[in-house]
Amino acid sequence: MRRTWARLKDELLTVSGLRVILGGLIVLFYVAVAVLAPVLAPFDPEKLGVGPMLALPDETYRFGTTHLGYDLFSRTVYGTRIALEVVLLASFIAVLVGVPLGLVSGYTGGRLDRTLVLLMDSVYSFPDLILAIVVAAILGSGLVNAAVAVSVVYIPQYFRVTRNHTLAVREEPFVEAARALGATRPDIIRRYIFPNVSQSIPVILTLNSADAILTLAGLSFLGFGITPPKPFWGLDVSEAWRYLTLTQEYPQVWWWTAVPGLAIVILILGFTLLGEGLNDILNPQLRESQR
Amino acid sequence: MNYIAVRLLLTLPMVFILLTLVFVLLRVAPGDPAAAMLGAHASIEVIEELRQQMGLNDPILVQYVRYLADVARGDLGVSFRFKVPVWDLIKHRLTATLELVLCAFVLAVVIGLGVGIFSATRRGTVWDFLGDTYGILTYAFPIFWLGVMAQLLFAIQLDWLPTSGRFPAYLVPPARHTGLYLVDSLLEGRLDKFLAAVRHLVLPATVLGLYISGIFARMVRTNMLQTLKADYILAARARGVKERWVTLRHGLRNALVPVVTMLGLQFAMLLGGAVLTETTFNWPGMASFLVERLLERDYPSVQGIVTVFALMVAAVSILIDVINALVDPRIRY
Repeated sequence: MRRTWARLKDELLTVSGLRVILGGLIVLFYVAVAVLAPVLAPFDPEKLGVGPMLALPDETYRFGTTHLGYDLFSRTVYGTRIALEVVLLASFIAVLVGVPLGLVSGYTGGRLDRTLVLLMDSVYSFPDLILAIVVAAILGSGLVNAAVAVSVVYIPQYFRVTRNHTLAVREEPFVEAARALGATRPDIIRRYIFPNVSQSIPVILTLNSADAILTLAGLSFLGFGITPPKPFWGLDVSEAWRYLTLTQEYPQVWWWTAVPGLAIVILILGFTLLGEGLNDILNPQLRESQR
Repeated sequence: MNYIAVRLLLTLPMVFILLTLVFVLLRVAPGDPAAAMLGAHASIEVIEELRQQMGLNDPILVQYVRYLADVARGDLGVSFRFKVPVWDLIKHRLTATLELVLCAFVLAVVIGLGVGIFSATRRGTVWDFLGDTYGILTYAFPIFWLGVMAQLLFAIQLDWLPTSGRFPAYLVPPARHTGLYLVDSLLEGRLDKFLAAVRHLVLPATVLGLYISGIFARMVRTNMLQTLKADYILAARARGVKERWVTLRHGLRNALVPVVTMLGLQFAMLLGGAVLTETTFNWPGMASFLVERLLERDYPSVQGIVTVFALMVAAVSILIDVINALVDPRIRY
């Protein structure tokens, strides 16, 4: 136990370790804000005219207000909820579809594998955002639909990683032993392959979360997925931008664009630092090759 | 030559799958296109007649085969909204998108190679750390936000560059030869038009290029580091080859194959990013047109545009393979 702790302490003091700590703190902060949103936000984020039009930040409206008198602070705070909810749901769907398909495809091999790989590679090669907006436009707006649209993009990634890993594990002696002892195929996949493959999932999950938030923000900026009056950062940037093209005057527009944008940037940074740090620590071989 | 032919054949299934995906997605879309086209006041008989005409009453398989045959003949269908062939609507937008994406791509390659090689050769120093930070930061900035902020700062506050569009209204766009304004204006011998086009391109191309450049820099760095550890690098150094020559001639060339391959995937990312950049800067390209058509539920146009995107992705993937075969003579089938 003490030796593990000592090793852990060594790990945490490296650049990767510091990244994990910093990234983890940022993500935790967002989770806390999302949970405490009703306490933190002084106003209803979806209610018009809780303040004057386009007020500059002051004690009541800490980040100022928008052209419709929304309180920007409340909207930014509640935005964390939507961001994290959609990302959780999207990751869940993507893992639920991508990982089993990857396991079966990798273990079975043959024609099924070739077909699935070709299919997933085709989807993967297609521009993420274009695929997501087409799906989002067809499904219509809403939290669940937005999550589905985002997950479509990431299914191939989970599939690829799981499949390639399965291919390697399949040849291990213990799998052969299980087969020789007469274990059934579902049993082998579930009890011998999945536990070995599943280690790589948390890292991709974290890194994909960053990407998923960018995709979701892009979707809502373009008018798909999350639509007004829901409080979401991408949407607020888009509203500010639309307003800006009409008037171009107000210094308030700076706040209105900068705040939700920064909310996105910091969360992405958190997920990226966490994911890359974890990746470095959990895959020491890769780290060696980079050193 | 043989190699290229094989690659072409291997890309066919991918194109086929993408086209099928597009077809299926748009058949699942809710709403009757015929009713949408005629508006709210059309009678059921008229709608039914149009459905018949448009072939919407045929079995789905017949529609699918017809779609594939149409695409093969270069027919992308007719827009519901404008009632003209989709191709006529997007051919000018296609070149606008290409101009933007190519400029962004060149910028990203220049920055990416520069930062990547710079960090890889100074591994573990402050410069390496800064290069890494650059990569993480450019990735974390949402491209549309960067665009809007750049617009606010450089176009509105400082008034250095135009806010949006592709060409000023007071000038006649250059005669079409290639469709790329930068090239066409030079062909016409009009420097003023060229500069006007450049001024409009600067912001969107930079924003789009920066977005990719960070990821690209990190890929170049990782691959360079791997190659620089190889024995032949040590051997070259032992022979007294100059360090710069070792880096560029021995290191970079060998690091380039995986990098070029990933560039192909980055190109798809650029197209996705173009959707956001074109919308932000009101660039009259294909990607912003896709958004517009989607919002109006003009599905035949959407199908046509997405088909063109799919073909572009396939074309780039072939191109990448060809370039790789040229860079690395070891790659053969």
